[in-house]
Order: sequence, then C-alpha cells, then structure tokens
Amino acid sequence: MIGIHSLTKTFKTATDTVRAVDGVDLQVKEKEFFVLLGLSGSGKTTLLRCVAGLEKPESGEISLGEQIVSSAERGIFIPPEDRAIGMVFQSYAVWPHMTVFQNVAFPLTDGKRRLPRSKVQERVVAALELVQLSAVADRPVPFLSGGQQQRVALARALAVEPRVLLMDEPLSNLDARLREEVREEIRGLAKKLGITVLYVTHDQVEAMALADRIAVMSEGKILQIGAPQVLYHFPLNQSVGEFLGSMNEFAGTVQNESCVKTDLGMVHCAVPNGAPTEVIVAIRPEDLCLSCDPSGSNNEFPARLISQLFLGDITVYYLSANEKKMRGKTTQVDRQLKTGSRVYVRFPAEKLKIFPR
Amino acid sequence: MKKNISNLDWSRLLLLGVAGISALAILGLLAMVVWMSLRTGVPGQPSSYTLKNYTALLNDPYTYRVMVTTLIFSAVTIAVSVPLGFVFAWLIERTDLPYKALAMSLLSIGILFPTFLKAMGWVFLLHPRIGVINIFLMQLFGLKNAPLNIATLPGIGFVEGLTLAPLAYVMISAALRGMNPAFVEAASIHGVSKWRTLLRVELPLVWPALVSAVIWMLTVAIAAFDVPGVIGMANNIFTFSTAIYFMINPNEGLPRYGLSGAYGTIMVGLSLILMFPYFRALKQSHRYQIISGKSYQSRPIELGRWWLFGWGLLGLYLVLAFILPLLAIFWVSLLPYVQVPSRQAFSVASFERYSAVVFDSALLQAAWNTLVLMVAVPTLIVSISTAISWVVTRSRMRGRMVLDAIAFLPHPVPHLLFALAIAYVALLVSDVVPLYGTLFVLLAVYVICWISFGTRVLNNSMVQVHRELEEAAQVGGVPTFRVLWKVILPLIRPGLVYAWIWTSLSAYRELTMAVFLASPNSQLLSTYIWGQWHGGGLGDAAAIAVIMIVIMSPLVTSFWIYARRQQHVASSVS
Ligand SMILES: Nc1ncnc2c1ncn2[C@@H]1O[C@H](COP(=O)(O)OP(=O)(O)OP(=O)(O)O)[C@@H](O)[C@H]1O
Ligand SMILES: [Mg+2]
Repeated sequence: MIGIHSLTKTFKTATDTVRAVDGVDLQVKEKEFFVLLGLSGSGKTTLLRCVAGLEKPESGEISLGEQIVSSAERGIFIPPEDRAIGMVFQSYAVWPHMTVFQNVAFPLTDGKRRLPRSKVQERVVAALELVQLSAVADRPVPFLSGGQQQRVALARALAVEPRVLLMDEPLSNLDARLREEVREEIRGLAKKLGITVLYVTHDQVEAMALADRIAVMSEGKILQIGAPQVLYHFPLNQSVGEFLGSMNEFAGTVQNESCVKTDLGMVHCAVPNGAPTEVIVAIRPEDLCLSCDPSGSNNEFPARLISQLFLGDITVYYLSANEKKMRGKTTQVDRQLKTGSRVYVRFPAEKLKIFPR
Repeated sequence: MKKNISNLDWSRLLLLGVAGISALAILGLLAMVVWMSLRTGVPGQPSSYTLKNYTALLNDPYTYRVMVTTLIFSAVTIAVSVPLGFVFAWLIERTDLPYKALAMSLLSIGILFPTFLKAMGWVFLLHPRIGVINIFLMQLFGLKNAPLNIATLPGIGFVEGLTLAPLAYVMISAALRGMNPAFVEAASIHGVSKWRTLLRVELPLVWPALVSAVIWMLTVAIAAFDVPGVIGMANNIFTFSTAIYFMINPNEGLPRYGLSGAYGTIMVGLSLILMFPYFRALKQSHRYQIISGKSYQSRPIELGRWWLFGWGLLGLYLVLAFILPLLAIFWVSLLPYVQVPSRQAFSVASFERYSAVVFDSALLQAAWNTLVLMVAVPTLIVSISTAISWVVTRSRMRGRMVLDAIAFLPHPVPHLLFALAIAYVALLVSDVVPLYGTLFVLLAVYVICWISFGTRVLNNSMVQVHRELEEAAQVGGVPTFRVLWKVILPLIRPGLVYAWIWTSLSAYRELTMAVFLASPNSQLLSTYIWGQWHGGGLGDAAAIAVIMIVIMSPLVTSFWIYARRQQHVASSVS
C-alpha cells in the first residue's frame, strides 16, 4: 500500500547538512499497522512527512497504492492536499477557533474531496461516534482535555476515509495510564476499519503493543524490519537488540562454531555462519536462570547477588560475576536467594544472541 | 505521468505577487532618492548624471551646521528620553509601584499623541514673545527679556525627548520583562544587597537593551520632523529633516530636488549603518532573555514610601509632556490673541473661534481626506502585510528572509525620504498620470512606510500559530488560500485588528509625510493645522488642534482597552 524506494531527504542548516532520511526502502502492506521506531533525531518524523507530502525528498520514490505520489527522478510531486491521506500530529493540531464538530467537518467542507452537506453531517457524526466524542461535539476544542483533543485529531483524520493513516507520536503528550488506554483504542479502530497505518514512536513498548511490523531507524537508515517478536528475539545487530529492551552484553572471541570465549569463561552457543572472530554475546535479563546451587549444566557461572529490587510484578537482580555486572529479571521470587550471597547464573544456549563487535 | 504544478497554484502566486510588488516599491523609492541626487534641475527636465549636488553639499558651510545641529538635537533627545524611559520601565517592571497598569497605559498611549501638537503647546508656553510662562515671568519680575526660550536647540531636543520617552520605556521594559529573574534572585540569595544587585547584575544585563534603545532613539531623532518643523524652522534651526523640507519648499526660488536627494542619500546611509550596532546590541540582549516557557515574575522590589517619589516623577512627566502643552493650546484657542491667564483674559475668552472654524469647507474637506486615509491605509497595510508575513513565516521560499529585510527597511529609514521620493516620481509622471498632489500618493507612501510595522506585528502573530495546524488542514485536502483564510487569519485576528487600528490612528496623527505631499486638494487635518501655524493663524491652529484631540481621545482609549483584552485572549489561545 505504501511503497518507499531509496528515499533521501537532507536538511541544510547554517553549519552543516543533515541526512535526515538516508536511502530508505520500505513496503507497508494493505491494512497493515506499521510502526517506525527509533531514537530522537533518527528521521522518523521526516520520513512520515515525506509520505504526507509535507517534505519534498531529494531522491527516491514514494507510492500510495498504485499511484506514485513523489518521485524526484521523474519530477513528480503531488502536494499533501491531493494525496487522500489522514494524519494525526504530535501536537494534535486541532484548530482552536473551531468546535469539535467543525474541526472534523472542515476537511470535508473545504477540502479537495468535498462532500454534500447532508453527507458531511453523517460522516462527522459517525467519526465522533467512533472515538466516543458525540457528547462534546459542539464544544470549542480549547475546552477539551488532552486525551479528548487527541481523539478529535483522530476523528478528523478518519472522517476523510483515508487510504492511509499517518500518526506522529500521537500519544506522547498523554499521561502514562491514558496512553495505554488510547493505544488499545487506536489499534482496535485501525483493525476494525481495516486501514493502513504508518505510526511513528520512540517508545518500544508502544511499538510492540501496536505493530504488525516494526522498522527500527537510526540516523536516517532502517536497521531492521520485522514483527515485534522477531525483532525482540532475533535482532540483527546490537543496536536493534538494545533498542527493544535491555541486554547483558559480554565481549568475546569465537573459538569454533559452538563456542565463544568471554570474560566469564567459555560460553556454548550456536555461532551463526559468517560471524567475525570478535563478537558480543548478549542475553536479555529475563532469560537468565538463577539458582543457589550449581546444576552442573553448560554456561553456568558463579556470581554474587549484589542487590535485588522488588517491583511488584517482577523482581530485578543485580549480579556481579568475575567483575562483570549483570541484570536478571524474574516473576518468581526465590526466597533462598540472599543479597550478598553466592549464586549461580545460567545462560540457556538458545536465548543467546551473537553480534559482531 | 504528468508533472504536477498545483504547487504553484494561483493563491500562492497572488500572495507572492503582492509581497514582491511591495518589496520592489520600497527598494524603488530608496533608489529614487539616490537617483535624484545624481541629477539637477526640475524633475522631468533632461539632465545628465552628475555629482554636482554632492560637491555643492560638501562645499557649503550650511551643511556642516545642519549636521552639528542634528547631532546636538539627537544628543539632547537621547539624554532626556532614555533615562526617563529606563526609570519608568524599572518602576513598572521591577517594583511594587501602585497603579502600575494606569502608568503603563498612559505611557503606551502617549506614543500615539500627535507630536506636532505637543510642539505647538510648548511654543505657547515658552516662546520668548508669545510663551505664556515667559510673559507671566516677565510681568511678575519686571524683566525686559524672556527668561526661557523653547525655540533653541536644547529646547527642541527637550520637547523631542519628552515625546520619545514612552518609546524608550516600551523598548526597555520589554527587555526587563524578558530578563530571567533567576539572575537577580541568585544574587539576592547569595547575600548581595538590592541596590548592589541593581548596579552590578541588573544594569549590566539590560545594558545591551539600553544601547539598542539609544541607537534606535538616534535614528528616530535624526528622522524627526514634527518638533524641529514646528519650533525650529521659524527660528532658523535646521536639522536634516527640516533642511530637506526647506529645500523643497523654499521661501523663494525653485525647489532643489537634486540637493535634497544628496541630503536624503546621506540620511539613508546613516540610518542603515546604524542598524548594524543596533542589531548587534539587540542580539546580545536576547541572549540574556528567557528562551521559552512562561516567564515568571520575581518578587517586586518594595518601594515603601518611595512610591510617592515614583509617581511624583511620572506625574511630573505627564504634566510636562501632555497636560501643560494641551492646556496651553486650549487656552490660546479661546483668546483673540495670546495672553497670560488673568481676569481680563478670562473675560474675553470664548469659543467663538470654534464655531468659525468648524464650518470652514476646507477643514471639512481635510477631515474627510483624513478619514479616507484612516480606513484605506490600514486596510491595505493589513492585506499586504498578511501576504508578506505569510511568505516570510509560512512558505519555504528561498530568499524569504531577504523579503523580510526589505519589508523592515522603512522602519529605520526616515519616512520623509519616502515621501520625497514619491513626490519626485509623481512629478516625473505628471504629464502621463496626474498623480502629484492627490490623496493617492499620500495613501501610497503611508502604506509603503508602515508595511514594516504591519509585518512586524503579523510575523509575530503568525510564528505563534503552530505549523502543524496549517499542515493538518493541508493533509485534509484544503488548498492554500482556504488554509490562510479559514485557519491562519482567524487565529491571528488579534494581531490583524491591532495592526489595523494602530496604523489607522497613525494615519490620523501623521504630519511628516503629509507635509511633503499634501496639496490644496489633498489637505489633511494635520497639514491644515501646519498651514495655519506657518501662515500665522496660531489661534485657529490651536482650535483645530483641540478638536483633533477631542476626536482622538475616545478612539485611543477604546483601542487601548481592546488591545489589553485581546492580549489575554491571545495568550490563552496559543
Ligand atoms: N526543518 C528542518 N530543518 C533542519 N533540520 C531538520 C529539520 N527537520 C528535521 N531536521 C533534522 O533531521 C534529523 C531527523 O529529524 P526528525 O524530526 O525526522 O527526527 P525524529 O526521529 O522524528 O526525532 P524525534 O523522535 O525527536 O521526533 C534531525 O537531526 C533533525 O535535527
Ligand atoms: Mg519526530
């Protein structure tokens, strides 16, 4: 549905030029919920704005459905008003001089895809129904709460029945609890209406909760694309792995296809073909196994339990083994584990990730 | 695949066109000043390019006298206005002075008070021959000569300084308000005394703002026409502005456009050169300002009993700058000839002049012309400024900052030069289009000169409209012009109304540009008074002046109330 081919967009500032989007290739399927995830300044917003037509890329091509909407090489550039998209902005951008109803109706009455008056009424009512704002339809938007304004923005984007819905960190101005709630609503709505969504966020939990697929971006480039589970469990490189959740990392040297030498000692695992000699061995905190007594299996190392942190649903352990700090996470509290005592950590071989160093 | 050109749609083209034509007009008129300085003779007559005007200018001792006069005049103006402005700003922004809002309103409204009326008032007070105070003192002490004389260089500098003090106050108080109070609080927390903090922390921090205020006052004083024109010219005191006026309207002989162009070119150069240190100081002062977020008020300095002193100073200023001159004008308007208040004088005082004056058809015509300008000028300015500000703040056009700089040009460059240039152009084309002396040229020059004001206000309003508000409409399929009309303009309405009313009131009080361009067919209230004044009809001039002020007062007051209310609304919207 959305096709992006070797797209590049640079910004010239007073001092230098920034390659905000740097040769991005990307395909979003029909009805897919696709999330762009990356650190601040990685170019997510710029990429999204290129799709919207709010930025004009220097090179590369963008297509929406069958239509090429932007192609620097072929001199095609369709302005945003002709792209038939919906967009939810980070600041919501609801027009403060209009009521809720007027906000949703404005693109329908004044836009390029104008509707007859009776139809407008119908559409707006339906859109407000969808986001549960019918009760406040005639209120001026400055008198709404942040969450309500956010939903006005969503209703406005949906009312034009766009082929593609773009969202730029729409939840970042909401407080944590509301965010979780609206997150569910957005995903539910998108699936119910069957629209294609391109969604930008820097919050990996949000990304995983929403996405069918995620693209991780860094410095204008895409590092990896995949389903949340794939990215989480099989990141292609250290950055992607770290971005989706914390990891314990150890520098190591590959001995053979099933053995890496690290500071802790020999680690047994499947070394992928083509891995260099110098590698990083990584494991997520929740994959560590802890016990008071050695079990005698592979990849088990003695460690000291420095401290433990009870967080309600989980408990976090801070460990030190051979001068190396580690973090473990578990939902089952083992009362025998005493702070300051000697424990044994085991790395299940199938959970280990190997990255080039 | 056909190339999409709706990027260059008609609405964009229209906005760009309006902005571009205005910019060309500004540059064209400035170029005209230089061009006329390179020619001799009457406009339209064949003449070769020549530097004769410049050699004449350099060889004439009169030039140097004008230069020195202008310098001393400016120095006195600054010495009066900037200290007053600073003290007022400090009292209002930093202390617990009671009735601050009143003080602020009176000073801000003071900017709109017609300057030439103030100058007339001071002549009635302190002229050696007809000044009421002088006559009074002479009678009281049996003096032969007048003890005080306003028709001197320090005198006119003093009056100009009183006039510009509110402007200095506005500039300096903006800097004080923007200054991060944490700097001052940090000093007091670490045990530095209030007065020491004022001297060692606050003053150095506002120093750049003071410097920029001084430079700005200098450019305003160099360009000033009203006070030197009303008080100085009749007494042979000529600054640059009045010297140029006198060249175009000599007592005898032909107008010397070439020479006035040479003077004008020097003034343009001077005002542009002054902009370099001005912007440097301004940049420096912005560095000390709160970057973003809501500025919070630091605890005001408690004046204690000194508040009386503060209001005493403010009161004295208000008496000198407004009340005394106004009373003098009013007094004179009631009398057949100027005399000191006495029982005899009161017995002959009457409103006779008023009834004679109001039914004068020439005056009615002048009032009508003024009204036309008060509606047409602001309407055009707001429309054109909207186009320019849109291009500058909303489009991503290359060269938009150049457009912004050009639109700013008429701010520092003396307005009388634009009037001079447009008069010259009107004369050049007078055979083809009879523009010279029509209301239309007045309209044109007012608009061109005050676009700078309109664009400052609207740039400010437009950058406050979040870009995404516009983009949301664009993505929703709304074309450019509709976005402007239905999203941006409603959101900046307070700015539009403010700019409209301010320029309308400015058109009401403007004298400088008008005296260069008004003909018997296009008299305005201000030029009518000017004509009476220099034609010897002092009493009639005074009576019309009183009428002018009576009409203006409710206008200004309602404007002020509106502006204050809108500010609250505006801050709650953004
Ligand atoms: N209009 C612009 N002019 C100059 N540089 C820009 C502009 N817009 C973005 N950039 C630069 O491009 C890079 C990418 O910016 P972008 O806004 O796309 O990042 P982002 O991933 O959305 O970040 P965030 O999570 O903070 O929103 C940044 O280095 C930014 O400074
Ligand atoms: Mg962003």
